[in-house]
Amino acid sequence: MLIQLKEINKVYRTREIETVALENVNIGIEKGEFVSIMGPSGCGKSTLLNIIGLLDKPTSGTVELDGAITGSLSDNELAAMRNRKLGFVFQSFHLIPTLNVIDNVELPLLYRKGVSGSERRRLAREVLEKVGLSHRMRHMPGQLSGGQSQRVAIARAIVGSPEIILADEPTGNLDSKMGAEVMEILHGLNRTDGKTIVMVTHNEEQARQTDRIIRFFDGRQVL
Amino acid sequence: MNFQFIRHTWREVRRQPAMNLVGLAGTAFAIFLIMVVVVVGRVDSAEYAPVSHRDRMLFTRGVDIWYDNGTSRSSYYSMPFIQEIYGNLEGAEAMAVYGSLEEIDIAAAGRTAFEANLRATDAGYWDVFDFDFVSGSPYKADKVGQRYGSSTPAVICASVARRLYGSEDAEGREILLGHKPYRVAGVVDDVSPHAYMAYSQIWIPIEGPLATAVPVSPEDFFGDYQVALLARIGGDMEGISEAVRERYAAANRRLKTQDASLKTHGQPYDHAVYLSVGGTNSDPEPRSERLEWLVYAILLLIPAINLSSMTNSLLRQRRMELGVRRAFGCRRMRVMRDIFVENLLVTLAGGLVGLVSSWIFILLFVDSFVGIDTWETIFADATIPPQLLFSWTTFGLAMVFCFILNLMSIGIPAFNASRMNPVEAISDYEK
Repeated sequence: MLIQLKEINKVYRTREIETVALENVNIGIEKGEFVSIMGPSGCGKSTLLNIIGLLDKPTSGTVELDGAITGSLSDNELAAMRNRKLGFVFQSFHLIPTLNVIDNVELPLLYRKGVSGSERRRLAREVLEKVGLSHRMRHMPGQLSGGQSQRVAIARAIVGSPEIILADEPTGNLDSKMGAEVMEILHGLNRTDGKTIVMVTHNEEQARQTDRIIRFFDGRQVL
Repeated sequence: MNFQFIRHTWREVRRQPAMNLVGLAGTAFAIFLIMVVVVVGRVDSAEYAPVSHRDRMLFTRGVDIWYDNGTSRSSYYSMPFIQEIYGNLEGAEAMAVYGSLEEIDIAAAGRTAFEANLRATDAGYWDVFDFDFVSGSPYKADKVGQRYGSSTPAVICASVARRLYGSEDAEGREILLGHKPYRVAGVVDDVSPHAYMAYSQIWIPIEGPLATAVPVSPEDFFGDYQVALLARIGGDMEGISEAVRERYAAANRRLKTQDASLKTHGQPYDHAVYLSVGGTNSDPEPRSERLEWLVYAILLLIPAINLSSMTNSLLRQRRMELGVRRAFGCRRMRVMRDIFVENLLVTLAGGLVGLVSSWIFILLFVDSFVGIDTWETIFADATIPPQLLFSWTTFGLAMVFCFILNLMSIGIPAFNASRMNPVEAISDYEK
C-alpha cells in the first residue's frame, strides 16, 4: 500500500467551538491507483488531502506513506518527503506571479539537494513539453489562460518525479473543454507514468473515469 | 549566482512599487543618516594618507612640571628631553618630531606672496606619516638640527605649488619663506587639516642646536616640539609606553633635586586617547564609545521597526506563494533565508542610494561646518578628506549597517512567514 490512513480523526478547536472535520477515516491506496474523493462542500475532502499531503496533521490516527509512518517525522523530514514523494495541483493553480513559467516549474527542484541549475532547466523543459507548453516557457502566469495555468501547475507537480500527485479540484476553475484537457493529462500520467493520483472533485463524470471513488459526508467516509 | 532570485526580487518590487519605494526610501534615509554621523564622527580618527598607520601610532601633548611651591608650568618638549624620553625606543619603527603650525608669507620669483601654513619637522616625520609625493622626495637629515645653508630644502603641497607656478611642477625651484630662500625638495598631495599632526602646506627641516646633553634644570625640559611614534608592525605598543614611563621616572628622580616633578598624564597616547586630551597639562577624558554605539543603534532601530511592519505587510500579501513553497518542500529555514536574501538585495539598493546621498549631503552642506579644534590659523579648507568619504572602509561600513538593518527589519517578519501554516496560506487564497 502506497498510502495508508488508519483511524484518522481531525478536530478543529477554538475556545468555544469544536468542529469535527474527519472522523475515523481508514483508507488504503495502492501504487498506480487513480482515486477520486467526492462529497459536498465542507465534508472534509480538502482536509483529508492536506493530511495525505503532509501539510496538516491529524488529531489522531496514523498516516503511512510508502511504508513510512509520518507522525513522528520532524518538520524538515516532512518537507523533504513532500518534496520527493508528493506533487500538488491546486484548484486556483497557485502559480507564483513573479516567476515565469519555467521558473515556476523548477520550484520543487530548488528545494532538492544536488540538482544543478542546468539539470533543473532540462527537467523543467521536459515536463513543459509533456504538457504541451514548451512554447510558453518565458511567459508570466498572468499571460496564460486558465487551462494553460493548470497545465503549468501539473508540470510543476511532476517535475520532481513524485510517486503521488494530489489534485484538489484541478478542473474547478476551468471550462469543460479545458477541464477535459487537464483530465487527459492526469490520466496520461497515471496510465503511462504509473503515477498514483488522489483527486478531490465535485464532478461526478470525471470521478467515474478514475479507478475508485471515495465518498465523504460530514467528515465520515461513506460507501 | 542565482539570477532567478534577482529577477524574482525585482518583480516583487515592481508588483508593489509604492510600498517598496517607501521601504527603499526608508532604508536609504537610515543609511544616509548613519553614514553622515559615521563620516563626521570618524573625520578625526580615520586612517588615510598621510595618517594611514594611526592604529600603530603613539602621540604626545607636552611637558607638565609641578614645583614644590605649588606652581606649575606646561608646554611642548625641548629637543634634549625628546631625545631622552623617546629616542631609540625598542619597538618603535620611527619617531617624528614636529613644531606647531605657523603662518608665513610664501613667494616665488615674479609671484605675489601669500600666506600659508608652515611646520618644522625632523626627517623622521616623513617615515611616521605616509605622504603621497607628487614629485621629488622628503628632506633627509642624519640629525635633527643639521644646517642646510643656502639651499635649505622644503616640501610644499600641491595646491601651494599650483598657486606659485600654475602647476605642480615645482621640484628644485626656489621659494621665499618670509625672506629666506628655500629649495623645493618635493611636492605632496594636499593634506586635510583633519589629519592635524600631519597637516601643513609647507614643511621645512628643524634647524637649531643639536641635543647634546640631558636636561637638568626644569627649564631645559620645555621647548617647541611634539612627538609622534610609529610602532613596528605587530609591535608592542604597551611595551613602548612602559619604556617611556620608566624614562619619565628617571627624569623625575633628577628633577626632585630641583624641587619639581613631572606629570606624564599617561603619555604617550594612542590616537583615540590623544583626541581626548585637552592640552599639555590635561589628563585624558576618553569619550564614551558606548554612547556612540547607542546612537548608531537608535539610528538603525527606528527605521528597522518601521520597515519591519511594512515587510510584514508585504509578506502577508505573499502568503499563497509562501504556502506553495512550503508545500513543495521548502524548509522553514530556507523560507527565512530566501526572504532575508531578497530583502537584503532591496536593502543594499536602498543603502547605496543612502550612501551616495550622504556623500552629496556632506560635500554640499556639512563639509565646511566640521571644524578643527585649534587656536592656530588654518589656511587650507577644513573639508572632510575625500579619502575618508570615498574609502572602502566607509563603503564597507555602509554595507555592514545595511546588513544589520536588514537583519533587524526582516527578522521577525521572516520568522513569522516561516511559521505560517501552509494549509491556511493556500486556503486563504482559495477563499
